[in-house]
Amino acid sequence: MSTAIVITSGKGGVGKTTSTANLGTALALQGKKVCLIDMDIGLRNLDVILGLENRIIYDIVDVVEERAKLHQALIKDKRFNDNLYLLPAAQNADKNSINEQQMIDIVEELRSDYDYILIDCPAGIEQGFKNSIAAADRAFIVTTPEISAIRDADRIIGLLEQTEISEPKLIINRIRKRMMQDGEVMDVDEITRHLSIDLLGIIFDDDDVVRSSNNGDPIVLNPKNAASQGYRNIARRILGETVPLMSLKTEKQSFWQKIFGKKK
Amino acid sequence: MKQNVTLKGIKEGFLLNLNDAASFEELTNELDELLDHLRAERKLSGETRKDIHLEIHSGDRLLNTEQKELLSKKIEEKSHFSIKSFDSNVLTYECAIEWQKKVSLEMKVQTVRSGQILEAPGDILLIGKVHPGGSIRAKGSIFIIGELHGVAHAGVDGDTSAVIVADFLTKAQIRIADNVEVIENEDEESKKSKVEVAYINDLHILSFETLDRLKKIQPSIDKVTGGLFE
Repeated sequence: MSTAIVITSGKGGVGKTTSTANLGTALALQGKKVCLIDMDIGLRNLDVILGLENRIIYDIVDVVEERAKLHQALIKDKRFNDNLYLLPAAQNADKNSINEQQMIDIVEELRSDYDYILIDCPAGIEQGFKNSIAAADRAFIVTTPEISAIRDADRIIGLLEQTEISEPKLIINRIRKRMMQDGEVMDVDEITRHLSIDLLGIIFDDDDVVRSSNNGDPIVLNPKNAASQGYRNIARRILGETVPLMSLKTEKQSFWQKIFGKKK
Repeated sequence: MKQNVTLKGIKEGFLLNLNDAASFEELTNELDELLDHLRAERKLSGETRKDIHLEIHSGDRLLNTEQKELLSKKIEEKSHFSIKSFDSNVLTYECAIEWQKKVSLEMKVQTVRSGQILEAPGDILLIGKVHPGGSIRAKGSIFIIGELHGVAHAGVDGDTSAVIVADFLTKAQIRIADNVEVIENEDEESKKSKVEVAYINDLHILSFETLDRLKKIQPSIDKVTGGLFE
């Protein structure tokens, strides 16, 4: 049975697209067949982060308007032996080019071929959001420890409660260990309690995430990176494993590390 | 009296010249006479050939659709000619503009940004960049002075003789008619800037050649061609 998961946040720039790319990659690395759908029509990014931008021939609007068959529009990511596919958004259309029913039809068609369908939701709560949640079975809410992101997440959870999607799960992204330890931002427990939904995982803020995205490689491909481990843990939890939450404690820098810079 | 309608033998068959100084009524009357005459002759000679090639040339007169239909009807009813074309020395203003657009090189100086589509009814010369996510589509060929990082689609209506001349640097997508090529080489050699020509070869595969081969690939590239006469 395949699962369609929408990754949403309300606020822009909290890491929905990065999380979609990385969770999809992590699930593909676990041997699952994954299809990513970019719903940010007009401002697509998922293709860029996966490094598949120049391979787009048809997009989701072409599929909806029957200029292409669904399988023609899917782009295979060659790195993961047939496990990861992307259905790109159109760049020269807007979010009203698709309606909820068309989205449901597309996802239903994909269900037979894929274990997981991850839907990258656009920011906002307009048509793009409605389309994204229309076909989803589950929802992951991405937020950062910023109050504005948390406020928007709260609004999104409220909207999701009115739908058939059961129990959204929370991903707290861009956690800066020191700020959280010093109490400058809400900590993981506070955020989870405030939003009163289950925590799925936490991702530490890391410069390599951006560096890696810029090269078209999801950070998950680097197993040593802290953010990568966060995403890998979430993927394992999606698959039903019990994985403990990563520790927030910062490693004390030793005298020698201080002199010679960060240990690799 | 000078004849207004004359029939002349040409290589493919016959050419019917209609004098542009005569009135259309005169022409139709004379055509009737000519056709009757031909029919009588045909009966005598026992000639049985059908669908004889006929081109009609109306000189400096532009026949409208109704007139063309009338002539076609007369000729089809009364003879065994089959009309291959209507020609004249003149054409309508709209038709000329259309043709001009089709065969001339449109020049654009701009940046094509993500989500934008620059379209051309014929050939296009872009001076500027095509950013990732942007595309340039032409019914004819595409020439780009600047960086191409997005999609360049030449021959959108299926013209496989279209070419794309550009600096195929990195990360671009090239389409000619329904052939697609993604430029993905990441080695140092391919990062060097070099202007090349993309075209469809004899095996119907999209391929690349150095610029000096352009004339060999597409000999008529620098001539104004096609489109005016059917």
